[in-house]
Order: sequence, then structure tokens, then C-alpha cells
Amino acid sequence: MRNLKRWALIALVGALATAAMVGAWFALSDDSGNHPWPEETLGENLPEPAGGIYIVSEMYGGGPGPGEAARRSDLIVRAAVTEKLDSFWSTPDRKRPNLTEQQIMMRPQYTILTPYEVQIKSVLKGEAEGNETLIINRLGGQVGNDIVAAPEEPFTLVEGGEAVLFLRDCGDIRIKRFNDIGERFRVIDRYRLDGNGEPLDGGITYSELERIVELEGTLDAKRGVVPC
Amino acid sequence: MLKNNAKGIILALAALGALFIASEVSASHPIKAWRWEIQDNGDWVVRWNSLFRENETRYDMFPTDTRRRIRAAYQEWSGLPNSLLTFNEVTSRSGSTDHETHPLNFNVMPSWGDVAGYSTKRMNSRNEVLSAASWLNTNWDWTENRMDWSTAKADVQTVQVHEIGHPTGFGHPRGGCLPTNSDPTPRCSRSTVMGWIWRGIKRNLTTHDKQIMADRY
Repeated sequence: MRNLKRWALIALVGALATAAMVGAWFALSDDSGNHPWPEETLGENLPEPAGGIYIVSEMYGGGPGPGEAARRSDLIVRAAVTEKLDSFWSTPDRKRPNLTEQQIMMRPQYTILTPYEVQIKSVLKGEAEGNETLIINRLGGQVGNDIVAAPEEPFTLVEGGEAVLFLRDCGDIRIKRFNDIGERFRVIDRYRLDGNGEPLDGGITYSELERIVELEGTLDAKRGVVPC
Repeated sequence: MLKNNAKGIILALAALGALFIASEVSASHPIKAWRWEIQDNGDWVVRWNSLFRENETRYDMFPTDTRRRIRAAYQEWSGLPNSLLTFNEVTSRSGSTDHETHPLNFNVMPSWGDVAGYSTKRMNSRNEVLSAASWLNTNWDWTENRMDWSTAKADVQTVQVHEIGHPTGFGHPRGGCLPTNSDPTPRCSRSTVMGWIWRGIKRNLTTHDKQIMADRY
């Protein structure tokens, strides 16, 4: 009788522990498609602080969609991301502005950028004018101990990856802004491509993207193009 | 012997539970009573007015309406059931603020310039938010009833509700929760105000958002 009670108790505890583990498994499960809501919004994938300034920047609303992006763009290219270059502060001397952390946070024009070199594989609109490679600055990066994190994951450029870039030609204005390391072309929208050359974002195929650019690229933007 | 075994198992389970709770607590944020302000040095309204005059677009919203909508967005996050988080408006810049809302011409932005809203927050070494601000792009037309990316018209309350979510600890759903070929209307975007792109008006926190707030605060 005593043994029976003992085994019953052990079985009960075992069952509870199993239930707890199963519950935790489901709670921590990554399969958002099976959840009534996205677990991902519980937290952000942020880098570890490094002891310096630590600012997180986030945006709402991506590009205007391929049609309007095609209308607004001067140059649309399919490009391979060849190299990630050193991050820098968006100041003329590329150094951290002489301001407090709070002051820097309240001036979004001062931030850390990470330039990526991309190699043009084909031009969908405009003239690349002999520019086989372009520099595209991505928001966020680390300079020394200072971090500006920009978890804009959908549009992260990855070395070795490919993307269709919708670009506005800003000429020398932007190049000179950061002591000749600025991007001449401002990104209006971008679509990452998978290994088969199909867009990962936007819910369209590459051929649809090409067709939209062909149809819309010669039209004027619905809204005045924002200056560089 | 039996008691010792049971005690050991219960203690182990309790330790696991404590560990789980501790991991949740470590992701919390220190500010529970935010003092917020719409930047109010006069420039804000002037710039807002001049935007519409310069672009000769239809005047969809007077500044007072804009402010009312921004205020409503803060209220949406404040005083939720089972949540200690509050947002209290500060009316004088003499007092310090934890969160400010500014209009901003995004032409000054070194990166993207076509997004509607932008959020910055300052963190400490424990990944806790110290202060934050949100920025509304004056290159957009701010309205009370429209959300149209292609013509840069945005419902101010929809965007502001989203931006306030960031300093409270919300990120965007993984992958931005963009539509894909296999899932053109992702459920993750429907169930939160924190979707990276949302093409319609969404001014109210969802059940999911409120549940997370109750868990966190």
C-alpha cells in the first residue's frame, strides 16, 4: 500500500513536470503560423550593449510598393551585395557628434550608417552610367563602443545576397554629405531575392516585379518626389 | 525518502519557474509612468501648416486635430487592464519628459526618407529604455481617415499608436511580417499594431497587444 502511494505520487509529479515542459515548449515555440498571435512581438533581436551610446531606431511603413517605387525611382537594379564596409557616424567627419546621448537621440539625422558595396547585375530602369558597383548605406551599425541598432530586418542587406533596389539619384549632394562616403543613390524600396532569384518580400514574383517596373517606370509619381 | 524525493522534484520545478520569471523580468523596462509631450515650441504647428501650404494639398487635418489624435494614441497605451503602465501628458517643457513626439522633415535622414514614422530610444547596459521619441514625417499628408502608402497619406493615430509601442518594448514581428507569396495577408500583421507595414487604419491595440502589456507591466 505504501509503495502504491509512493508510485502514485511520483507518477503525479512526473505528469505535472511533463505537462509543464510541454506547455513551455508550446509557449516558446517559434512557429507563429500556429499561434493566434506573433510571439515575435514579445521582444526584439537587439545586439548586446558595448558600453557606449546605445540607441535603437525603428521605422513604420516600408517602401511605397513596387508601382509607386518604380515611378519615383531614377534607377532600378538587380544587384549582388558584395561587401559590408566599416560603419560610420553620419557627420561630415564621420565621427560621433560632440553631444550628449540624449541630444543625439533627439537628432535623428545623427546616426550610425553601415555602407554596403553592391554589384549591379542588371538594370531594370534608368542608366547605371558605368557604375558597376554602388554604395548603399544601411541604417545602424557599431562604431567603437557606440551602437545604433536598427532592427529593420526585412530590408537588411546581407553579404552574398541579392536584391532589387529602387533608387533615387541624388547626385553629389548626398555623396559630399559624409565626406565622400555617402551614397549617391537613396533607397526608396528594395526587395531581397532568394537563391532562385525570386523576391522574398512583397508577395510577388520576379517576373511580376519586372512587369510592374516596365509598366509604371515611365510614369510620373502619384505624389511629388521627396527631395534628396 | 519519499518526502525527500518529492521535495527535490518540487524544488527543481520551482527553480525552473523562478528562472523563467526572472528571464521575463530581465526583459522589462524601468519606466512605468511615462511623461510625454508633443514638442510645443510653436515651430511644430508652423511647420505642419506650412507643409500643406507648400504642397498645395488638401488640408486634411488642422493641427488641433493632429494633436488630438496623437493624444488618443498615448491614451490607447495607458492604463490598460492588468497593466501598471501609464502615459501622462506634460504640458511644459520645463519639466523633463520620457517620450516626445516631433514632426520631422525626413529629408534630413541619412537613410530612408519615405517612411511614415520613426522611433528612437536610448537604452542602458541592461537593455532598458531610458527615454524615447517618435517622429512623424512631414513629407507625408497626415489625415484622420486614410492610409495610403502610394500617395503618402497616413492616419496619424495609426502611425503614432505603432510608434509608442517601441519604447514600451515591442519590436516588429519577425521578418516585418510582410506579405509573401504563400501568405499574402499574414496573420501576424492582423493581430498586432506592431506590424511593419499595414495598409489600413489600425488605431486600437489588439487582444494580443494588451495581453503582452499585462504580462510585462
